Amino acid sequence: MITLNFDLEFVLKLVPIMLKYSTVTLRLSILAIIIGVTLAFIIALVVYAKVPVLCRLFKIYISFFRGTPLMAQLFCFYFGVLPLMKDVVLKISSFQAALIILSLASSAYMAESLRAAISSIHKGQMEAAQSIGMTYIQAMYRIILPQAIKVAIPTLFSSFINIVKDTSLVFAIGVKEMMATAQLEGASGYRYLEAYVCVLFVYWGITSILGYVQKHLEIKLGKSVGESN
Amino acid sequence: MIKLKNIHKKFGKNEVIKGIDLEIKQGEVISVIGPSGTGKSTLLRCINCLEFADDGQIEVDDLSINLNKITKHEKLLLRRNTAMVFQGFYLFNNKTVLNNITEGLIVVKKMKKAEAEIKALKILEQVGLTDKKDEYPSSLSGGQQQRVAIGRALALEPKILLFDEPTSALDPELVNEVLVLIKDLANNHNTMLIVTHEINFARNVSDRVCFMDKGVIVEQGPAKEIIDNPKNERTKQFLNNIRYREDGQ
Repeated sequence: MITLNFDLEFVLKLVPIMLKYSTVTLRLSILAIIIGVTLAFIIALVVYAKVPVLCRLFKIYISFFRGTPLMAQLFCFYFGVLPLMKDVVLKISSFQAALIILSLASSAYMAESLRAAISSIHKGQMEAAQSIGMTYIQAMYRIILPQAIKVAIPTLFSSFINIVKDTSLVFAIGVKEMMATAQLEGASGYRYLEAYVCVLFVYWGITSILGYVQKHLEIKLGKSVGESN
Repeated sequence: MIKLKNIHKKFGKNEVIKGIDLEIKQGEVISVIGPSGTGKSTLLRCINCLEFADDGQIEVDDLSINLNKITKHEKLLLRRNTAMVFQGFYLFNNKTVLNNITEGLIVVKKMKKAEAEIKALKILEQVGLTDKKDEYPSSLSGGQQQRVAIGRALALEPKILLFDEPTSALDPELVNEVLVLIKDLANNHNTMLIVTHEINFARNVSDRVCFMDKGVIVEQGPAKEIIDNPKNERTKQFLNNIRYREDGQ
């Protein structure tokens, strides 16, 4: 017979520990978002402008990172590639390795969202900007991108939320973050349910904040950008 | 003065413009009429470098540009000396009406922001939209959008204003406000090249009319002469077709 045996006291004891390790999750997420978005912008602009050679390379890059599992990328990089290069580069911690892979993988997804958003802006906007004498870069930066970003916000935030959730995989290469802690604490008293429920709620909390930011950003940009034709 | 010499443009194997020569004096208003698909818009877009002509030469005052080996810098120069008004308006959707006009002044003409705003307000007064200065394009009617677009082009004081069917995308009742504005500009001796299907407007406003067909200028001359008494058979046929439509016969 199943009895509901949920130790609330244990959960309350876990909360401060989880929150402590959530800083690792947050740090990893925020850095991966910043690096990932930056890369994504560069990739999207290069692919959109069809820059020779680079465009080709980035398309392969996107295809690779979107087409392979994150866990396999992490393992291959941390246990496969890094040991090969240990004499060549500085020693990379598991946190740094996780950050590199998360940034690269997420940039592939975000580059595609951004490229699609840029393509969705009517080509007349670029023509009008160029017709008054702006250079391609000025037109892109001042006219096209502000409109494209508004279009891209929902999909970009989906990617941000995915990054936060994907950080739960990095305990597999030894980063001590929330998942690792939950496993440890859960195992200590066979209180897995409590430990993982606690983890779920902390993740939910973090991603809810992102959802909230997204909503407000959409309202704010909606006002300043106006409805596009 | 603007001089076009022997302009050629192909899209793939399809030659759209087959050697166009045209001289536009300062302050002159020229309308280009003709059937769809005869390269009228493409001609304008070649002057503004939105399309790149395969061959030919453009002279704008002292500036002389060979189109078959045009440099990046020359493209920018040509664009900065000409300004385009599009059929679809293409106002910057992320900018207010005022900033649509200041944008070019600040970014291209390197004006100070305050100075640009004073100038933009003057332009808005001229196009009669001062009260809309803080609105975004999406809240304007088509006619108002096109008037702002004309203001945006005008603000840069180009050597020539290019109009690409400026009223074709407008509701019939909004056409007039735009035509009145263009007529004002003509009376103020702005140099203009207008591609239009508004034959009566072309007749009343322009100094000269060019009839284009299949990539060449078939006939040109004083507006009233060409439209009232065309000599060329093709021109006669085209104008007749249009009159039939306008008379509803």
